[in-house]
Amino acid sequence: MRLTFAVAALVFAAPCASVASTFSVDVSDLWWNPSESGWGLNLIQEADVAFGTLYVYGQDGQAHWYAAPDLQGAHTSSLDTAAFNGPLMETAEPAMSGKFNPALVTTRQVGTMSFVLQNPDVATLRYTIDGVTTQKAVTRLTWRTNDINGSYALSRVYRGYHCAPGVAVTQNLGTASVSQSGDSLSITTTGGIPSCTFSGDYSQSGRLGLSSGNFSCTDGTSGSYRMQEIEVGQHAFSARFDGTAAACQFRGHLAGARADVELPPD
Amino acid sequence: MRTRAFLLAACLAASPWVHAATSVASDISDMWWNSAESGWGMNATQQANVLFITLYVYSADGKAHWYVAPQMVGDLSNASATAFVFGGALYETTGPVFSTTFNPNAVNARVVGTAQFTYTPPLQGTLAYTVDGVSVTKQLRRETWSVNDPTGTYAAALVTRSNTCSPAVTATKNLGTATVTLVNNLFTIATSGGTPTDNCTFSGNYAQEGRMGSSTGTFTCSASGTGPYTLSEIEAGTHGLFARFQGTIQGCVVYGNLGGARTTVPAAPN
Repeated sequence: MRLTFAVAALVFAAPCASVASTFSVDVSDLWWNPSESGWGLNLIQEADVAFGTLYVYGQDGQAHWYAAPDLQGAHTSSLDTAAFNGPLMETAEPAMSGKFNPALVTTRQVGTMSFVLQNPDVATLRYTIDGVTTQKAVTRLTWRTNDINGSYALSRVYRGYHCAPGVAVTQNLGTASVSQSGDSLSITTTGGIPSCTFSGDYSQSGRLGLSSGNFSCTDGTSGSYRMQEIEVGQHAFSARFDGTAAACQFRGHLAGARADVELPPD
Repeated sequence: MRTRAFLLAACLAASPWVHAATSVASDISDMWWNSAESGWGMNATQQANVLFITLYVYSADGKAHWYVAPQMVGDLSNASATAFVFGGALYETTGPVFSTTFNPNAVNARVVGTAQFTYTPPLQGTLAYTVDGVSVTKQLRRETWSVNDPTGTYAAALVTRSNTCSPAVTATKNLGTATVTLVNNLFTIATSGGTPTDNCTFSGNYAQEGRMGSSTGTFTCSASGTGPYTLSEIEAGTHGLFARFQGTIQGCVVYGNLGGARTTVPAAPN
C-alpha cells in the first residue's frame, strides 16, 4: 500500500473536529535521554493528537527515522500527566536529490509507540519495531533559555483551597514588569489590586520555564509561589501558578499580553 | 573522526544564559512540510534565537535517513522584519542500533553541509540545505492534522498601538472576561466586565495551520464601535491564550497583543 504517513495523519484528523484545548501539558518538544546523547524523539501536539518522529539507527549503524503520525492522547488522573499511543511506521522513498514523487513513498507499520508523560518534563517512551521492544526514560532537551523580560498587561485567575471561600477569583493585575537575569526572575505588578512582587529562581526545560520563590503584596499578603509551564511568545506569556499564603494554598493561571507592540514595517 | 554526539554538541555549544532579543519572532517550533511532497519533512524546535532542526528524508538507497542541524542561529533583533534567517552546519550521524544498549561514545557525527531556514512569519519558510555537495531548496509550511480548540473563558487583556492615527500611543484594555467559542469554523469572542466598560463581540472564521490559529471577522463594541479584525498566531494552551491582533477602531488601524488566563481553575489537590 502506498500511503505516506503525512497523508495518513491528515486523513485521520477531521479538520473541524475540535477537542478540548485543555487536553494536557503540551508535549511538543525535542525529547532525549541525557545519558544517551545521539538519538531522540520529536513530538508536535495539536489538540489531542501528537506526531512523533523517532531518530535512531538501523542495523547498519546508519541514521534511520520512524514516524508515529497518530499518537492519540488519553487523559490520566493528574494534571501533569498524559499518555499518547499509536502505530509506528517506516517509510521508504527515492532520494531527495532527485525530483521527489510522493506517489513512490511506501509505508509499513513496524509496531507501536507509547509516550507517557510522568510530569511536565519527564516521560517514558516505549516503542516496538519488528517485534523488538525498547523502553527509555526521556526528558525535554534544552539548549537556550527563553527570555521573558518585558512589560505585560497581566491577568491572574486562582482558586484557594484548604481555606474559604474556595471559589475562582479573577484579578487584573495591571502592568507586570518581568525582569530575568541569569537564573533569577522577578515580577512586579502595578496598577492592579493589590500590587505584588514575585521574586525567585528561573530554569528552562525544553520549551517550558519554571520559577519558584516568594511573593508579597501591598495588602499584606505574602507567601511562596511556583510558576511552571511558563511559555513565552512574541505577543504574550502564560503559566500555571501555585502559591501558599498563611493557611491558604492557591492554584491558577497567569497570562500577560506584551505591552510592547510591534508595528508592521512601513 | 569520532566526534561528540550532535545533541551533546548542541548543548555544549549553547551558552545557557545568552538571551535573545525580548521581542522574539513568533515560535517556529512545528512540523514543516511541502504538501505536494508528502513523505518527508522538517522538525523545528526553537529556543530563544536558536533553531534545532531535523530533516527526515531518504538516502540514495531509498531508506529513511535523517540529518540534524542542532544550532541554527538567527538574528531576531528586528522584530518587525518580514523574514528571519537561521543558519548552521548540517550533520549526519551514525550510531548503535536502537535494539542494543545505547552507548553515546559510539556515535559519530560528520558535517555534510549547511542548512538555512528563512522564516516568513507566521506560516511559511524556505529551507535550503546541502548534503555532500548536493543542494536542495524547498518551500515549506506548517503541517496541520488537528484543530486546537481555544473554547473557554479567559481573564483577558488587549494591548494596542496605531501608526495611522495621532498620537500613536500604546493603549491597554482590560477586557474583563472573554468567552471564546469555536463551532463549525465560526469563531466568537464575547467580552464583559472590562474597565472601562466596553463590552465587545468578535465574530469571524477560524483556520488552523500547524500550531497556529487565525481568525478574521468583525467586532462590535458598546463604546468602541464596529470594525474589522484579524487575530493571527493564536495559540491556546491549558493555562492561557495568545494572539496577535489587528483591527480598525474608530477609523484607526491598530495592532496589538492579546493575552488571556483561563478562568477554569483545576480542582484542588487532596
